[in-house]
Amino acid sequence: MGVKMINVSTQFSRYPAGRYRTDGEFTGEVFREDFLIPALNSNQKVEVLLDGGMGYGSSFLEEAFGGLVRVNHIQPAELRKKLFVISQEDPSLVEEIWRYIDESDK
Amino acid sequence: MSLGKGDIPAWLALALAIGTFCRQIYSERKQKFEISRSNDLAFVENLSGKLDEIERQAFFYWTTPPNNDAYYGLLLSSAIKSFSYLIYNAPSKFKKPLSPHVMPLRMAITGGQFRDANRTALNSDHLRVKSMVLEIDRTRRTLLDCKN
Repeated sequence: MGVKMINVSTQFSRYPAGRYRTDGEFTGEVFREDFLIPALNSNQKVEVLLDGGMGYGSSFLEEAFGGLVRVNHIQPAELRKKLFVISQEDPSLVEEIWRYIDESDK
Repeated sequence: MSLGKGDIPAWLALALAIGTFCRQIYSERKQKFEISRSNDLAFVENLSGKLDEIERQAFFYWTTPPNNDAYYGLLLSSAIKSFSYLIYNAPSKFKKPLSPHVMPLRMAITGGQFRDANRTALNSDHLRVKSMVLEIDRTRRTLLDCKN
């Protein structure tokens, strides 16, 4: 149980987009199910670096991160201990992600 | 030591030199202010142009049937990213009032069925279109405030 760093632009895609797996190859659901959940299950801490991508749609962000609570039933409090989202290029992305996580719990 | 009539030209020359020096400082400061103001206006104009472009692309994207969705969606995501990059790297006098608009703008334009394979064209009175109009208008007003 260590620290896992996921660099979205180099390990997933520079063009992440869409919500469901049926929407394309690099959607929010794909990122959540194939990257986030396995990383959260087998690591104490997961760092997600968003910089370097060609822009993120809110639908991708909501499905990838809000879905952790809404679909996978992980409590926001647990995510606050384990999940660290980093974006130096656009700090509002981090704010938006935590908003989706918190709102999915309501 | 006393001042004689012969000293008057020297005093006049000194007063003239001081006057010229002060005028030069005033002129330099005024020039610096004008350059700074001109740069600020150019920055705001650039952002306004980018916001207009985002508005055009967003309306086209959401109100026309999906055709080449990946291309137009990417254009839109990229335009919003570029807009936010400019704001987050701007001097604090712009960054402070404009940065709170980035997230609501992105949420209004790229939320919901954005890049959804099954999305359909929306009517211009759809809630998403209305919320886009609202956020773009709010951002535009702040840009106008920055200009004044």
